Amino acid sequence: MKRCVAVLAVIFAITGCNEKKEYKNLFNDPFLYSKTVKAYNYVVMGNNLAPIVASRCYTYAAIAAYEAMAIGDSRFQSLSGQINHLPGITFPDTANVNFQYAALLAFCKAGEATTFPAGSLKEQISLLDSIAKESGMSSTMKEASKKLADSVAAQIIRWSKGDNYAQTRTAPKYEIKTDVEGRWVPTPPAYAQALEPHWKEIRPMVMDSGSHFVTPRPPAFDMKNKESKYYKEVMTVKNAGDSLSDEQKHIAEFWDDLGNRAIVEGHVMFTAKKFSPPGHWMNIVGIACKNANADFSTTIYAYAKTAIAGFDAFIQCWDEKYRSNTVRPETVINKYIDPGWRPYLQTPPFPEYTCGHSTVSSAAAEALTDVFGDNFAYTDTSELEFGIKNRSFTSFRQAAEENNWARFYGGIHFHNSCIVSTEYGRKVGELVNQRLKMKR
Amino acid sequence: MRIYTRLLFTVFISTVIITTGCNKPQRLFSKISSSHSGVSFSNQLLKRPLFNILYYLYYYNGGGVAVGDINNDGLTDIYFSANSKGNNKLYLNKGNFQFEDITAKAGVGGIADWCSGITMADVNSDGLLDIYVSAVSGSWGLQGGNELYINNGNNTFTESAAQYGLNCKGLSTQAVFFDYDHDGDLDCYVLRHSKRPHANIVDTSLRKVIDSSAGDKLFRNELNAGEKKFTDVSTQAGIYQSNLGYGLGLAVADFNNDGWEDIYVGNDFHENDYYYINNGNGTFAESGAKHFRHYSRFSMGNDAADYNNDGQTDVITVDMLPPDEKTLKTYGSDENPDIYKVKLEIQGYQHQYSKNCLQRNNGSGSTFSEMSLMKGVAATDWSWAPLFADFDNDGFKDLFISSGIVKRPVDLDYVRFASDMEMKQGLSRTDRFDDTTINAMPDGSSHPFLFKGNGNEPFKDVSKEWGTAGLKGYFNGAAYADLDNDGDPDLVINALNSEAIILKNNTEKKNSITISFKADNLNRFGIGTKVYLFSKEKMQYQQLMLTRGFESSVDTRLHFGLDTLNSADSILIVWPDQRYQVLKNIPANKPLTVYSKDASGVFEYNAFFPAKPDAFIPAGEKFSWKHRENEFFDYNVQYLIPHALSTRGPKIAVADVNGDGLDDMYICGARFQPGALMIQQLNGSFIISDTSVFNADGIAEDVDAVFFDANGDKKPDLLVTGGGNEVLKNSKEGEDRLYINDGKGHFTKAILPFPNQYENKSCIASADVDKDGDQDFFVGGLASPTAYGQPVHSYMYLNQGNGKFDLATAKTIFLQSLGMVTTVVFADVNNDTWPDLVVTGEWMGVKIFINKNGKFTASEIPSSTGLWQTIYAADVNDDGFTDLLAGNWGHNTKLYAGKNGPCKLYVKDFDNNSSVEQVMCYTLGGKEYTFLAKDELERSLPVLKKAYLKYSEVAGKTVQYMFYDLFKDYAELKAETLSSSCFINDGKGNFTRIDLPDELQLAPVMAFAKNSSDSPGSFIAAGNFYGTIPYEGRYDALLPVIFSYQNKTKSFTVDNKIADFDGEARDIKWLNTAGGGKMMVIARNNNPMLFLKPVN
Repeated sequence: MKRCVAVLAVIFAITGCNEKKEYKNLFNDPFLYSKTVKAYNYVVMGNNLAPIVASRCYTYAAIAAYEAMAIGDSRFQSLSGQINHLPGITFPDTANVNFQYAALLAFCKAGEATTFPAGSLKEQISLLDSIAKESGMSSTMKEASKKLADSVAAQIIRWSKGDNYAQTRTAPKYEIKTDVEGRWVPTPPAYAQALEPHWKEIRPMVMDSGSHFVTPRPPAFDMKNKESKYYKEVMTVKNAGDSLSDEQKHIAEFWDDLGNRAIVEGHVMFTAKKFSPPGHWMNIVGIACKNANADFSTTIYAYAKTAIAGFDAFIQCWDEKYRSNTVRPETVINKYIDPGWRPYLQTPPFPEYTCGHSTVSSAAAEALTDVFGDNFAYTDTSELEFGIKNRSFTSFRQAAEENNWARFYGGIHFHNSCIVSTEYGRKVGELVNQRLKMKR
Repeated sequence: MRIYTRLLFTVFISTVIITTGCNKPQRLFSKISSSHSGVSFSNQLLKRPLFNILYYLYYYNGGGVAVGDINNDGLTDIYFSANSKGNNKLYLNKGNFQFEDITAKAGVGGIADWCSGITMADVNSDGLLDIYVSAVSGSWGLQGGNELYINNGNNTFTESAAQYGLNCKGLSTQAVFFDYDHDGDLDCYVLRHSKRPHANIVDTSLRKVIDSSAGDKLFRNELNAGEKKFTDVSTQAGIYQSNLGYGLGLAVADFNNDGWEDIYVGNDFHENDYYYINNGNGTFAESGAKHFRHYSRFSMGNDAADYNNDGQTDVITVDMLPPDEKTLKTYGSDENPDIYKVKLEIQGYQHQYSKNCLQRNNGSGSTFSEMSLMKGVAATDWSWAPLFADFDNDGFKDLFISSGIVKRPVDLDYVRFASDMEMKQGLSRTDRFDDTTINAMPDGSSHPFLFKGNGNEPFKDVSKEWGTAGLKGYFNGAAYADLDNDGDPDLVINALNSEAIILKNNTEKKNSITISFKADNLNRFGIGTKVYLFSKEKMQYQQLMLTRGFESSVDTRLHFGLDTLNSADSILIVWPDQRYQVLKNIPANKPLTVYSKDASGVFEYNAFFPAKPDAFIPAGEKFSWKHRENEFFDYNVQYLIPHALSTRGPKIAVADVNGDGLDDMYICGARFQPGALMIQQLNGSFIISDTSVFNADGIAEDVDAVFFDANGDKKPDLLVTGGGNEVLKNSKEGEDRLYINDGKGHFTKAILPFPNQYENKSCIASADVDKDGDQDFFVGGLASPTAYGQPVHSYMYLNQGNGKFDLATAKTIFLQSLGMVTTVVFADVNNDTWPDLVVTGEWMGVKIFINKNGKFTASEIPSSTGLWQTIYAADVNDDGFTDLLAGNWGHNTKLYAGKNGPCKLYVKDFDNNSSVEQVMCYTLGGKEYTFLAKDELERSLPVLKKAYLKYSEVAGKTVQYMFYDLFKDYAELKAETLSSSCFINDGKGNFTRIDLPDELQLAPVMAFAKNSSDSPGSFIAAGNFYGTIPYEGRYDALLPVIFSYQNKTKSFTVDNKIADFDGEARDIKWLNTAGGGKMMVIARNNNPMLFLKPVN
C-alpha cells in the first residue's frame, strides 16, 4: 500500500510541474531508466527468487531495453550474432518512435515475463504511460513506440525460452548423501533445498558453456589432520568469525545481499528480503551512471553489459558448485568444533565452492570498468534502505576485492574460495568485454 | 425473488427449531451458564510491553483445569489457572452445578505472573488434595515460580513450594505426581519447555547438556523418610534436561505392564517425544526409538489410556493438522525431504509428522502402531488437550480434544505479510509494528471435538451430535469429572479470552461404576492403581493417574461405563505396590470404594493375562546377507510423483534347485547389489551360491524373479527381471536375465532367448498358457521413470518348446499400454483348466484375462480401481472357485481419512516444459482437491505462482478452479478404493469385493501368503511403505498378521500378529525344510530377511 502511495506521489510530482515540458526531455532522462530498473529490483526482490534466477530476470530485461535503444542510436549495435543464439532483431516502422520510451517499455515487458504475478510492472508501465500522455506525446508516437517495444520484447522473450530454464525447473534435485563427508547438506535456519543444481545447463550469453572456465579443485575435506589445508581454512573462518571488528561486520553486512534471509519465530518462518547480488550491482550501475553523467543510451548499455557479465559469472560459479558439492563452514564447524557456532551472515542454500557473490561482483566490476574506466571512485548507497551505512570505493575492482573479504567475514565461505571466485569472475568479465562489441 | 426465498427459508428453519425444540432429544452435553454455575473464570491475556506471540511462542497456550474433591465432601471441586498474576480461581462444588468462588479465602489466586499447568495431589499424605501450580518465569520480566498449595483442611491453603523444594523457576508446563520408585510417597516430574530459538536444528547429542530453566526435572519425595521435602534426582534417574525439549505433553502409565510407571513426554518442534521406561531401580531409560515408529511433529497435550479395551495402555498425542481444506492448504506442506533426511540421519531425530498420533500398544509396549488417520482422529486443528473417557457409558472410551488458537502464525499468507513487513519496516528490529503484524495473523478459533469410541472401530466425530460443534473459541486445558455424581463424566474447559466452559453430561439409561481408592500407605489416594473391569465378554482397563490432557488434572475416582448391564462380573484392582484384589458381581450405579488393606499377594501380569501363544517363533538369522537399497529419491526426478517406485524390493523366488528336497531361494538384489542364490542346508542354514554369476549383474535392480523350467529339462531355471525407477536406456540395469540350471543347482547366464525390454518392470509369472507342455511367462511393466502415470506396456512370452520364446502378439493377448502394473498371478478363475491371467497395479482396476484355448480376453472387475500392490489367488471360502486377495494402499492415510470419493491422478505436461506432471487429488463431497498445497505444486508448476499470489486464493478450492484453463486434455486415472480387499469369485465370472479387516488397512499390503497348508481360509499379510514425502508420512503401522475367512459370517477375522516386526515387508514365502518341516521367510526392504517357524 505504501508503495502505491509513493508511486502516485511521483506521478503528481512529475506530471504536476512538467506538463508543459517536452516529452523528449522527459524521456531522455537516464534517471528515469535507473528508476525503472529500481522498480524492477523491488519486484524481483518481492518474488523470492534465487540470486541466480534474479540475474536472469535483469539480463533479459536489460537486453530488451538495449536492443530497442540500439535500433534508434547508431552509436550502439545489436547483440544479435554476438551472444549465444540471439537472432537478428526485426522491427516495425520506426518513423514515429520515441526510442527512450520504447526502450523503457521493452525493459518492462521483458522484465514482466520472468517475474510474477502477471503484470508485475504494471504500475511502472502506467507511470510511463501517464508521463507520455501528460507531456504531449502524440498518440501516434505512443503507439509506434509501444509497438516497437512489444516487438523487441517479444523477440527477446522468444529467444530466452531456449535457454533451458524451463527444462531445469524439473531437472533432478540435488541429492543429500549423509554418508559422504564434506558433501553439502542444508543449512540453518531454513534448511532449504539446494538451489538450482542444474544452472550450469542454462545457456550462457558469452561463454561457450558452463564449463568455459573450470576452477581449480578446492582443498580436500580433511578434519582429521589439523595440519591439512582444509582444517586450517575451517579454523581461519571460525577464528575470524569469533573476533570480527565493527568494520569487518560492516563489510560483511554491506555485501550480505541475501535475497531471502529466513527468520524463524515459534511456528513461523518468514523471510527478510534484500536485493540479491545482481540486484545490488544493478544499483551500483545506477550510481555509476549518475556519477559519470552518462546519457540515456550509455546508461542502458552499462546496465546491459553488467547484467550479462553477472549472468555468465553465475553459470560459471554454479558449474563448480555442483561439481564439488562442498559443505558450508557452518556445518563443518558445528559438527567438528563447536555445535553452537553461527556465521555472522546467514548461509545461503547451495554448496560453498566457489563463491557466487565474489564471482558475480568481480565480473560486474570488469564490465563496469570497461564502460567507465578504472579508478572510478564512488560511494555505494544501495544498502542504506536496509539500514546499512554507505561504503566508498576507489574503483569497481576494489569493491569486488572487498566483496571476497565480506563473504569470508560473514562466515559463509572459506577465503580461498572467495579469492578463486574473484579471479574467475574477472575472467568471465574479461571475456564479456572481449567478445561483445556493443559500441560501434 | 431471492430475498423472498431466503425469507421463506428462514421461516422454515425457525419453524423446525421451534417444533423440534419442544421434544428435541437433549444433546449429550449441554453448557451450564456461568450465571447458574457461578463459575465466571476467564483466562484473559493482558497487554504487556515486549511480550506477545512474537516474543513468546507459547503465548496462546492458555491455562489448565484441575479437578478434585478438596474438602472431601464427595463433590468434585474445580481449580483454573490463568496467564496473569493472582487470577487463578478455586471453585467449591455446592452440588447441582453450582459453585462458590473461594479463591480469596483459600489463598490460591497465584503469585506467579504466568501460571500454566495445574495438578492436584496429596503431596504430604494427609488425605487432603493439595494443588501444584506450574509457572513460566525468569524470562520477559515474568516473576514467580512453581507453587505448592498445601491443603489446610478448612478450605484454606498454604503456599509451601520453597519449603518442599518444589519452587522451581523457569519455563514449566505441567507436573505429575506419582510414585516412580514405589517407596509409597508421591514423587514429582516437572515438564518444562525451551524458549531457545529452534531455527538451528541442533544435534540430539546435546540432549545431555542441562538447561537450568528449560530442562525437565524429576523430584523424589522424601516423605517416607519422614521429611517434608523433595530431592532433585533428574540426573541420576536418566532424565533429559536440555533445551532441546519443548515439553507440552505429559503422561504417566505402565505402558509395558511390568508394574512400574513409565513416562511419555510430548515435545513440540524438532525434538521427538520421549518414552521413558521405568527400570524399576530408580532410573529411567528413554527408549522411544525402539518402540515408536513415528510421533506427532508438534506434539502438544497427550493422554495415555486403553481406548480399545485390550488391557494395554495406548497413547494419543495431539498436533495442529487442520481438518478443513481451506485452512489445511494455507498451512502448506510438511518439511522438505532434504532437511527431514538430515534431521534423521545426521542429527539423530526420529520420524515425526504434523498430525495427531494415536499410538496403539501392540502388547506390553513391545511396539506401537500409529493409526490416527484410519481411526479418524488425526486432524483437530491447533489442539491442546486430548482426553479419553467413556462419556456415553457404553463401555468404550470416547475422545475429547480441545482446540483453537487466537492467531495462526503459520498461515502462509501471514508469513508473506511478515516478510513484507520485515522488508519495509524492519519488523525484527522494532516493536512498533507488533500490533499490525499480529492483526495480520488469521483467527484460529475452533470448537472442542468429541469422538465416539467403539473399541476397535474407527472413532466417529460427534461434536455436532454431542453438542460442542457450536462452541467457538480457543480451548486449552480441560478435565473431566462427574460434577453432579450422576454416573457420567462432565467436562470443564479453560478458554482464552472468554469464560471457562462447563459441560453437563446428559447421558441417561446407561449404567456405570465409579471407584474411589483408599490406600493404607503414604499414597493415600492410590495414584497409579490399575483397575481391570470385566463385564460380559468385555474388559475395560484404567490406571489412576491425575495429570492428563494438557496442563490439567482429573479426578481421583475412576469411572467405567457399563452400558445396560446392571453389574460388573468382576473387578481386578492392582495397587502400585503390586498387591491386588478381585471383587465379584459389583452392582452398577453405586459408589464403590476399594481399600488397599484388603489387597494381598504380588500381581504378575503374565499370570493374569497370559499372552496369546505366538503363531510363529523367530527361526534365527540364517545368513548375513541383507537387502541394501541404494540411495535414490524418485521425487528428486519427478517432483510430483505420489510415492517412490524404486523401493519395491526384494522379491524372492523359491525352488529346490539341486533336487535335495530342501527349498532354495533367489533373493532379488537392489540396484548396485547382486541378487543372492541361497542354497538350503540340512540344518536349515543357507549357503550363498554362484556369486560370480550374479555379481556380474549386480548393477541391475532386480524387481522380480521366478524359477521355472525354461528349456524343458525339468530343472528349475531362473528368470530375473530388471527395472527400478531410475532413468535407464538400453543399459544393463533394466535387462531381463535368464539363468540356466545345470541340474545340480548351479546356474549360467543364458543368451537371452527373447527380446529384452529395457524398461521399468515390476513382476513376472509363469504358466503353460497354451497347454503345449512348456512354460510361458508374463512380464508386467511398471512405469516410465520420467512420466509416472502414463500407462506402459506389459509382455507375454510363449515358449517354443526349445527354450526360445516369442513375444505373444495382440491376437493372443493385448497388453499394450496396460497401465502401471505392480502384480500378476496366473489362476484358473473359471475352472476350465486353462490358466487365466490376473493383473493389476497402481491406478488400475483388477484385470482378468480369460484364457480360452490359449487366447486371452480381457475384462476388468467393475469399480475395482485402486493403488494395488499385490494380488494373491486362493480359494478363500472353500467353494471350489479361486478368489483373489489384493493388497491396496489401506485406510491409514491422508488419501482416505475424511474423504468420501475416489482418489484421482491427473497426468499431463501442464506447463508445456516437456516434463510430465502428476496432480494427485482426493474427493470430498463430490469435489476434487489437490493432495498437495500450492507451495508444493508450484515448485514444478511455476505457472501457478504466476496466476495466484496468495495462498488463500486457491486454498480450499477445487483442482478445476486452481488449474482453470490448463485443466484439459489430461489423462485421468482413478483409485475408487484404497481398501486392501478380497474379491470373492462366484464361479460365474463375477467377483464381489469385500474389505479386509481394519488391522490390514494400517498400511499398504505388499505381500500375502497362505498361513499353513492345513488351514484353507487362513492367510498372512504384510507390508508397510516408507517411500513417501513427509507430508504424506511413512506407512509403518502394519505388523505381519494372520487372518482367516469365516464362512459363517462371510467376513474375515484377525487371529494373531507377529508383534516384533519392524520394516517394509515386500514378499512372504514358505520353504520346505529337512524332515518335512516348513519355514516362512519375510523379505524386507533394506533389511535382513526375517525367518519364522510356525508353532504347531
